[in-house]
Amino acid sequence: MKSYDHIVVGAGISGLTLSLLLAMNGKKVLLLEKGARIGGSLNRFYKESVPFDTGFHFTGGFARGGILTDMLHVLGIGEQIKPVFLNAPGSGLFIFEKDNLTYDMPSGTDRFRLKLHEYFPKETQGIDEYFSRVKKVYASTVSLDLRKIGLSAETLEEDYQSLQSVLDSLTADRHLQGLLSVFCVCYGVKPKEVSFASHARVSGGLFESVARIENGGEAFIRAFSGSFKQTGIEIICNASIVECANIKNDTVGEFVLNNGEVIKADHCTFTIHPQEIIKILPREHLRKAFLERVASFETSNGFFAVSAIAEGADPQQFGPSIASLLPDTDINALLDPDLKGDGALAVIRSVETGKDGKKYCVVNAFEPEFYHNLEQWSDSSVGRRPRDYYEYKTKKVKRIGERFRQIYPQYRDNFKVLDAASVLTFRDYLFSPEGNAYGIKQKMGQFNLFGKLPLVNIYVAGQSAVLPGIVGAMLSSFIVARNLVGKENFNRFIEGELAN
Amino acid sequence: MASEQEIIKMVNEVFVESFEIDKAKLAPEANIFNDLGLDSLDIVDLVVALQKKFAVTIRDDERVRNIRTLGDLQQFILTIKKEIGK
Repeated sequence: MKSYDHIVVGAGISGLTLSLLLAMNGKKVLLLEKGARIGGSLNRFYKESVPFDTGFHFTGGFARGGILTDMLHVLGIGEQIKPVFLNAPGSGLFIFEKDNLTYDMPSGTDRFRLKLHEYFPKETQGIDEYFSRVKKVYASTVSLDLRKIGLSAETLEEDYQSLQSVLDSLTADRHLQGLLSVFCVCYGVKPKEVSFASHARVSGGLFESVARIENGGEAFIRAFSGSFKQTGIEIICNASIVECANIKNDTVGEFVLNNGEVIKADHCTFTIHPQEIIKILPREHLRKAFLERVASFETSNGFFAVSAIAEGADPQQFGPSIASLLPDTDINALLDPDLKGDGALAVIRSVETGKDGKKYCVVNAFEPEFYHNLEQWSDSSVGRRPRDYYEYKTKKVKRIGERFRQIYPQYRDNFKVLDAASVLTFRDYLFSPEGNAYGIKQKMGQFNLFGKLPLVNIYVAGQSAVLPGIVGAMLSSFIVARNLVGKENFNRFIEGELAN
Repeated sequence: MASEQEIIKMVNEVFVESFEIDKAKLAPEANIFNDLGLDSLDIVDLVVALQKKFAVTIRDDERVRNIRTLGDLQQFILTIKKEIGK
């Protein structure tokens, strides 16, 4: 029987990060991935030789001394991940479509704040208060500093205030409220349902800087793959755990894989969706209260994505940029699963190099999509969907094209759609329940699954654990790794790598 | 608002319903860890179940950390229900 120190389940960014951290600390690691290849939504796909992003389009955290820069440095892959900052005028547009209002927002928290002063001269006090509170939360969140990462997470007053209640106390201007809560769409929880603290932890990084990565998520996969070879991490794809066996004193002794193989390991960490974890754990070792807690988690929305190019456009004039098209100033309405009509639409322009070596002007456009609207087709699989599903898709693609042309009329005639994906597509390619983009919704007052589970050698990390998105997913792995490696050893490791 | 007796009954129901603990063990002096068999990993689930049952937000503060017995817990819930009632 094969034997390991650690099994890591799920090879998305969290599983990749945890595997490498453990191996760098001398552990023998087996990484299991249900899909055909590692990387999950970091993977890109190609249509007519043009590369498109699957689920990773941009991130915060790359500003000088930023948390993401630090984490990649510790992992030894910092030089292979090259951020492309979106800081030119026009690279961060927020558009309220009904009112035909466009806000061209710069990057950098203070520049963003001062630009809002210009747009909302009567609201400067509320704007300043908002940003001072965001900064306060960001600075008081110890896990956003790698050197202090293990210190117990102290809850703040802002953990018990909803974002909406804070907005209401600062301004009655609905456009300003919209702009100060628009980043909710980047993690899928309504301003009424998210705590101000969670919102500040995510958007604090996005106000500071927004960056795309050269070669997209694939740059991460390549960098990790190289380090995996050097550190001897074993990977099995198309593999999952189907049973925990030989359990003594609430400790799992053996793990049975879907191919029948039985593997011994001291510890196992799941980085997959909480509701998928529960299916694998033995019921007789779980409290009903635990199951109820997990069952109460709501899965976040997914996206309807359009992959397109602007043929013949000038690459010099083509981004990178993000335009957020907002049919409503109330972000609560835009994140409501019962929303009728247009949703918030992100339109990302970038120049990418195709497999044929040519430069392409690429458009990734995506709009939140709610699984229950597609439930009627949920039994179908890729390539075998019913006709009315394709009609639904065609209609969506057409509407997204119209909205794109409204804001970029210069590409009116050369916008060419190469592919489109619904939440069902994401579900079937990425094994994410309901095709969700952000794991579970991280709502105020909720206790996520994180760290040790009722089975003492089973741990949980991933984007549903601490904070959504790439930064939160990686952070959760740093925190779990610290528990697995031992606090003092890990602190020494972090200090050593950061000093390098 | 629910009476003191009702609140105590509801706290006990959480242990029976969500932790499948025998009703006979639910004396006020019962230690939550030693007598009722919960461990530190169960505490989060206990807090979540109580929040749901009483529609309250329970913060991780000094008062929670000092809870040892079922009676302590019942008193704690009575106190926060009173605070909200004010």
